Amino acid sequence: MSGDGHGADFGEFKAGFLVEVDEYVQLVENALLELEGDLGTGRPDKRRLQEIFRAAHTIKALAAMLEFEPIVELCHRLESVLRAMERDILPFTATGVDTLVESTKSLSSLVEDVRSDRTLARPSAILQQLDDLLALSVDSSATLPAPSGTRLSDAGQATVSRNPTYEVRFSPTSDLVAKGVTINAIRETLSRMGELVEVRPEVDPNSPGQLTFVLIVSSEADEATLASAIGLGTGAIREISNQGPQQPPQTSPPLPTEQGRQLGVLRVDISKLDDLMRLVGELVINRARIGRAVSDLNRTDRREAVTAIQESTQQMERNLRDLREAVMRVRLVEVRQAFGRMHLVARDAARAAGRQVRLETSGEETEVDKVLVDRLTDPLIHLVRNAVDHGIEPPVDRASSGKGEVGTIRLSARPEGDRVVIQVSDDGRGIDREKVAARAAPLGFDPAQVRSDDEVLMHALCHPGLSTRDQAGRTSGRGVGMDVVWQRVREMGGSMELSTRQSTGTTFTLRLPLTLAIVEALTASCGGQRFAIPINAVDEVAEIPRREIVHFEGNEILQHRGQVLPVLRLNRLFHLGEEYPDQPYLHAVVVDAGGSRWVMTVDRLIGEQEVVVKTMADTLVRTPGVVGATDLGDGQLVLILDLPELVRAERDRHQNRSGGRA
Amino acid sequence: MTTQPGTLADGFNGRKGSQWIVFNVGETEYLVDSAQIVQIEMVENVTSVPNTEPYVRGVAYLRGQVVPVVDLRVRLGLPATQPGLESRIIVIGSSARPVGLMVDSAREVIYLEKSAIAPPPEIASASGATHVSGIAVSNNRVLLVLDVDAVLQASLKLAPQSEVSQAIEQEGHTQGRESS
Repeated sequence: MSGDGHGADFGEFKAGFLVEVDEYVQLVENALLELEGDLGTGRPDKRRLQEIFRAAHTIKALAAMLEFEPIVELCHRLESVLRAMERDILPFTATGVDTLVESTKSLSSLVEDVRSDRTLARPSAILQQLDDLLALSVDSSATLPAPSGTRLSDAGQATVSRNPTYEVRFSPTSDLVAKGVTINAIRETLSRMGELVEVRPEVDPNSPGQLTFVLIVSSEADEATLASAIGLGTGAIREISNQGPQQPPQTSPPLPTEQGRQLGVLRVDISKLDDLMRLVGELVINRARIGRAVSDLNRTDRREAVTAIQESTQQMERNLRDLREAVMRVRLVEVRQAFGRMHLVARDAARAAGRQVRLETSGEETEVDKVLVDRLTDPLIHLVRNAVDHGIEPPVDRASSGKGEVGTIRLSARPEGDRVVIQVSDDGRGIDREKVAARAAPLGFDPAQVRSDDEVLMHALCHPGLSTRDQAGRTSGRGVGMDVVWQRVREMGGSMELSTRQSTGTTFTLRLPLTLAIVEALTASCGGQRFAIPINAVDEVAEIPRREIVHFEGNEILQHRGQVLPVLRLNRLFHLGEEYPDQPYLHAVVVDAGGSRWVMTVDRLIGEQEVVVKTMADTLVRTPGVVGATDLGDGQLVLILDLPELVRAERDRHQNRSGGRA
Repeated sequence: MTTQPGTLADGFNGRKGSQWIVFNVGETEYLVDSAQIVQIEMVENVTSVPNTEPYVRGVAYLRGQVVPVVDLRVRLGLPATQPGLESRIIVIGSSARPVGLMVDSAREVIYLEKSAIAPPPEIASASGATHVSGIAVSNNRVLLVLDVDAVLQASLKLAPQSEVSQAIEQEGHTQGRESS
């Protein structure tokens, strides 16, 4: 047993706590920002207040379970303020919203303390601020009595009289949690099956530390149905209809139940799990088939048994591939998670720097591997802060240049082949090339190139030694963060591009893999070396007669299925010899590089297989068009190509050349 | 096949000073502190990576990691050769970033007191030979201490390619004169 007084399952609970609380904290943050938008109207959106209230309440209940007292206290105080605002007895002011935002920050820093096993300190300052705020209420009865329970519904009264009311008692244990029986799951199920009237935590004096939730629900379902739906025995439920109606107190906010359920704690779509179950089922059937065939081997009909085994093996291969894809899909989450947080980041940075900023997001529904979304957050924070601090001009300057005082930062995501493209752009002043050139010169950068070439400019900005800090905001000196951003992006197997125009704005473009791990790839050979080409980027595979390739101003083009396509030869791009110079045909793949189709020739296409992607992030070996490497099983690494990136790099090179640069 | 510096060193137990690996690049004998070394490998299965610096031999798959391999001959200005049976990859672990250094051979472990290592002579540092951080004389052999960080730092430099290759050419020039 651990010495801190918590049980052995504390760690398990803590992990679950963090997952859920993170979601709720973010929800509160976002809702507060929207609430801030209501300040103009002078009236808060009541639904939003309720939403925040419920989230705070859930965090409180979760924290109470694990005895994180400072969090419980803070949430409780938050609830009081929210309730007072909701009941219009506390004026809805900017100061009020500010205090709420500050409390939320304090809340998330407490959660961070939990995450890093630090001792939680009582956030006295912010509690005092909340108290001061509450003192402004015209009716002090808004203050909640004590952290006990909350009435969730007053709309339930009519329902209460019609349907029987039950009391459900639930004491979380690690076994139950492992089975998915959690307070939130139960709460959700019950509110779907009836009207959830009350949820309150109770501490059993006989076993301190063990928390019991008491849920009052009215439902037309009977006890047994309810019990099995929530995964508890019937002993946990008893009917209490005859004990008088549950008088909903006036202070309770109405509960739009549907909304409550959207509080999306990272949940997996049931249909995705059903897919998994179905696939596992098929595998089991197949295994049985093989077992039968193997026992048949001992009898006479050997050939039939061998055929059956072969068929089953093939079937299993398909099943495993499907299973892998299904598991990948389960891992995918929307980038919304990472984007959502940026509103607060932009708001904070704008305040600190005295800017007016609007953050617009698009493509939040783009799905990316959960791990990537998590790792994306830090680089995004840096980029957004940088955009505010260094991109967007002070309102006066903007006005005088006819831009409008409010600057815009756009955050967008979209899939592109097997990558996701994330852009952070601002309509600010653009990066001062002269300044960067001056500072980068001592670091070995050619000032002329820094001035003229966005890529060199970006390398300079991302150099650990560079920081154009004279304007430095409190949050970032550009340069300090940029090297970290770039490093993170490369670690994820991604790339970053910069484009900036004086007084027009700056855009950072990140290209990241959608998933880590495994991709389906074509294997090809070129100049005696093998390469893997992720199949998502390949439109089709073709054999091209050499004589159909037309030379055109130093380039090669080809008519293919009625389209004229540019031809690139991997041998030449990679300075490799040709394996079959006399062969009249070339093997090629047609690549879609962000809208335009290109033909890429190789010496030979070998086959198609799944490969495990190992990223190659080290600067020594980072090269355009190579995303990583894989071991095909013989210990020799095979490079995995990103053909769209390769095509883009080549196209840019051409454009630069024709643009007059020697 | 892996050669653990530790096992080689067993015969040297009781010696004073820290443990150094002696390796050859061309005719020159270099030293590297064994504390910097993760492992020493035979040269097998190095996959070349296109459009990288000339001294980047490629990548190798070592212990589940993709490790860049620098050809130290080329890095120090000697012509590249085919790796032979004696050739080794010394994997250096600098700040959690493993890099393999391909050398002509690595056969010996010696113990040296810090005091046995003298700073590089003026002439070397003046001519830009920044990859040597010290010199030791042991049994009439002159051993150069490789400044691993300097070698990798310069390789890492995010300068435009032309400058890097110029720097290498210059260094190669200097090195060539020195060894002749």
